[in-house]
Amino acid sequence: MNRMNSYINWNEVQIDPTSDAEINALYDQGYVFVRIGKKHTSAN
Amino acid sequence: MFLCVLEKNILQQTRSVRIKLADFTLSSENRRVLRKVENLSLELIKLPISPDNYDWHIHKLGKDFYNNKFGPGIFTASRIKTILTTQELNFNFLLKYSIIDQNCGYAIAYSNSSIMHYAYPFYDFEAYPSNLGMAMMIQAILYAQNEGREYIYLGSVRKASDIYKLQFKGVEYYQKDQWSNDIATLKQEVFETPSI
Repeated sequence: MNRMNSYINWNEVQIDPTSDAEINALYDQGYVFVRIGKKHTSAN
Repeated sequence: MFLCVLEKNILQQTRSVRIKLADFTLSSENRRVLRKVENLSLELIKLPISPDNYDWHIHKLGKDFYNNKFGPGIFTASRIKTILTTQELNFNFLLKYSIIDQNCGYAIAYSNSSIMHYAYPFYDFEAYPSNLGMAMMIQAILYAQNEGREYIYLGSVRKASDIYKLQFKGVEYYQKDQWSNDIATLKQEVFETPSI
């Protein structure tokens, strides 16, 4: 079965976008918005 | 124990695939697919959707689709609903597809005046086992082109089953530090990569 955990991730950035141009520039460098955020350690 | 938490404004650099829409024209295969799914219409809905207007059938369809295609837990109903009804992520449009007023599929998108990122499509695969997924993507491409976008991004290519994204005129992919339209080399690389 195909799984979606083989995602290629060369780099990750977190931005505070102030303009569409900033987002467009990142997309032009191979970045895309993703639905999974950062992993956090849980106390549980 | 690690928890994966949805966070806004996070971008990952990947082997992204995009179409330069100035160079895009329908191929004969694209036209064949569109003919197979007659009367398919597309409507864009701005996100987030208010709880009063949200239809739970959307995340039910998405959960069933991703469970069937990729296995349980890959894209849960609650995560789909969160993306569509809150501002926790950057995706700002829901692409709603219908066939003669019958909702048949959706995709989640980020779009501004220059680009569209077509992501996370799901559809009624039992009623429409073939052609609908590709027809939805082609309609999104045509929409973005007609609305004057420069590029539409189609996600990434990492395994053989992603190769279908490379069939479009004007397609290119990001390879570490530059865009390339050398599709033959990418296909060879993908097919030589062991599947997980």
